Amino acid sequence: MPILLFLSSFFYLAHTFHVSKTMVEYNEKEKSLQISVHLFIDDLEESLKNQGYTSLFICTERESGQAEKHIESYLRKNLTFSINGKLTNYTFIGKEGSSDMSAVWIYLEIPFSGKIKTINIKNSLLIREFDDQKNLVHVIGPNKKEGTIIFANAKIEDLLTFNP
Amino acid sequence: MNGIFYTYLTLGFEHIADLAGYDHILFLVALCAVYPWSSWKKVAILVTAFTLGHSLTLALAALNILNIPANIIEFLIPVTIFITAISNTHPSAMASSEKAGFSRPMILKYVIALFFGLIHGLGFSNFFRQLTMPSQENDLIPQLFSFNVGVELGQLIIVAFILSFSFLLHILFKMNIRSWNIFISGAAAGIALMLMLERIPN
Repeated sequence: MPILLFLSSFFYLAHTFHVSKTMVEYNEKEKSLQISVHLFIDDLEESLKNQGYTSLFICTERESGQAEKHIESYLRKNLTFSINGKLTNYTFIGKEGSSDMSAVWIYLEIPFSGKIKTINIKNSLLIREFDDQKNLVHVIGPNKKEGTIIFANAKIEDLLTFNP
Repeated sequence: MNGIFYTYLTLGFEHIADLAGYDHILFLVALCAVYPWSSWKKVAILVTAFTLGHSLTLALAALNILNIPANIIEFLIPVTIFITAISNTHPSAMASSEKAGFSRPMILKYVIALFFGLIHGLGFSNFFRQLTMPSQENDLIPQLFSFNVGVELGQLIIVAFILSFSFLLHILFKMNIRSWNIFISGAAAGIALMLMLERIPN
């Protein structure tokens, strides 16, 4: 039996992908970094459950009143931005379910009026929970400098530099 | 921070290389089980035919032209593996490996690889969909292209590894390719059967 269980978990893994995606875009007019994070609800609930927060029913009619608070604190722990070497807090704007309701979009914002020279991103979203977790971050920075970073178990931090 | 080409090539390559998409590899293993190291050119063409097939349906699915429920595709993928593995036991299967690269039985095999590739491409699309950003809708074609190049590279490396392994067994233990074919095809059919039972659509 244990062997069968092992086998079935092996096969089950075949097509459960663990991927999150985040867009970070610098809005020149509003002088702010606008951030949207896409997380699978089942993965997010699983990791919040590991911290003892159960029955959150994220993005459903039965959503717990505590859900948003726990999501926010999970994000603040696992996704951080340092601008020009200084840890910068973001405003939690809100969240909404994806079109097929399998995922949640979370919206964040960092007002920043100065010149951005560097952004250091730390992204460990769901990485402790899932070995194969990959977190894509697409950045459109100042001067429209654009690119993508793949965060994973082996890499949870990256420093981006923006030349004037 | 990397550009589209490097990012999506890496994602495609790793999807194959870290065995997350191992059912696609299993198909290639079954498809190539009858070929010894010396037939590497045929194997490279087979892998490429498979990639052409799955690139086409992956693109159609990513562009929302084709939309087939994931549970049906996930079931059909092991079916393609099972059929390929079983057909390897037919007496003519080994004979095709001795024919020229573009003889009729070989061309038929390339076509089968391409056709079954069409099904696998829809499987890839379930993964690929998770990798695209709403703000990058205009970049879909370069993303698809780079992802496919990464998948193809990953497949070629894994298949080269398998051919080398069978060559090594041949050198060390006088393993003959007929026994190897039966051994590998049996293993692939067994795993495919388990996957099929696991994924019967409700």
